[in-house]
Amino acid sequence: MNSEKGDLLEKLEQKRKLYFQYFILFSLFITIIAIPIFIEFLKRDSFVLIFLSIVYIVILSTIYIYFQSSWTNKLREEFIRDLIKQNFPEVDYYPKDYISKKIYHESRLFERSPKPDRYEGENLIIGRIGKTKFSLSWINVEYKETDKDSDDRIKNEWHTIFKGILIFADFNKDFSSTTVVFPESFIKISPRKLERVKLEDPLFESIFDVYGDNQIESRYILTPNFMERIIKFRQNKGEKIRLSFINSSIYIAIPTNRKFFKASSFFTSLKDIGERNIVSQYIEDLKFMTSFIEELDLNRRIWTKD
Amino acid sequence: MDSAILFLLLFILILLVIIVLIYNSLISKKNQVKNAFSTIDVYLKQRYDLIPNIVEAVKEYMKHERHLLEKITQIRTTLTSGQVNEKERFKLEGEITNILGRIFAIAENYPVLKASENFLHLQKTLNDVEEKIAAARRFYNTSVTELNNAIEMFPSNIIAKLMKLKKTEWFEIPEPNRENVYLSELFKK
Repeated sequence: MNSEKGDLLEKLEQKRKLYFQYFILFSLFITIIAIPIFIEFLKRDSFVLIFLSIVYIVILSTIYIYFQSSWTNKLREEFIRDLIKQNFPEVDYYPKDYISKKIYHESRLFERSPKPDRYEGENLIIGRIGKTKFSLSWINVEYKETDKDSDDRIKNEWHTIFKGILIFADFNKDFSSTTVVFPESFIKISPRKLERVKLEDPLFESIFDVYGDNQIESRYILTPNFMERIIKFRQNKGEKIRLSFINSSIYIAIPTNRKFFKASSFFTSLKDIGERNIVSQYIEDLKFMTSFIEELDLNRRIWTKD
Repeated sequence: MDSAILFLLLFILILLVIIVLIYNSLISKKNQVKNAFSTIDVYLKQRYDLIPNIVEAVKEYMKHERHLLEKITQIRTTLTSGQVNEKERFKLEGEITNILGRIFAIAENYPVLKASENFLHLQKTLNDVEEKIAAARRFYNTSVTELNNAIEMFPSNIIAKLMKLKKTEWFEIPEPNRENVYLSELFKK
């Protein structure tokens, strides 16, 4: 790794130490206030003492979470952004932003799922790699189920619709139709205004269900070569990937529990983790998110679209 | 007695519904084959339009391969005259695909030609048309398989026989030159 990266890590290490010191200071302050109160209740009321102990732990945890999230953000803003720029000069990174709900709906990938009640995300990456323009981010989409328990109290239960990476990119061929590729399911229900597209590749057919509004354009997109690439892409990214092709764009949803660009605890020194380990972990994350361009060969522009 | 008649009527009604459904499905399959073929036709005609431009662009360079250019022009003339049957047409279209593949492979040896903007544009347009022909051909073959299966399978084969439906030929590319079908593959080199 070059010395520039080393300098940056050195600066970040200084900041980490600062976060650590602030945290210790705050914790000490809280503890100093807490001790006389604890002593006061030690002999009087054990229930209040338990309650106060819980409050004390919650306050300390909140302070920890606050500093950890500030530290994560600092690392992402300063280190990850720089790392991404260095690898892909035409790409921008916004750690707190995420791909819009509009794109999520436009993708038609989750049309059969319930309407989302919670939509959040992070790690938005926007730009161009080679000839392919794209935007992607991690998102977490959930819906709420409201029920009443035996005491007639309203209970909310949250269910995940999708958690993972959603990609929106420019496709290398021009088309004006819609084609969606879902993981194979026993019951084949066509999405709105789409019909089933039966393809000749038996392996592809056994692992995906394809629907489209133009049988020929769906095949123009899903050539034998491209179907093979999608099969390999699925091997690398997981069985539940979904793809859609709408008006010359491609949408890809990769469900994953993986946390991207995760910062280590601000208790741990960056020097102890080692520059090489830090960089390689983030490069792996970046590769996971952007490798679709290479794996699906989207920079191959041999057709009329430039 | 009454219930027996009722059952018979019900049976006839169900039978009629089944016959109508099979009949309609056969008609829709037959029309799908027709539509798929007309789409291939559109793209094949787009390719006919490209051939003179390609010949014009390469003829100065490919003096030793003049026979290829003459052959493709001749096939194009035969095809546009419309005096060939379906089977012959599929064979000739396959030949066009192969000759075009060879022309573009040979063009790799002429750097000036390869770099020319006009040639590059033609190559991209042709790749597009070829991929569309391939897509339409795949859909046509899928439609033909569905129709042929219906013609052969019981009970639709009985109705198909009454409708005088006949099995349709696949649109296949001649086996020995299959590797040349996707011109785009040339770019991989």
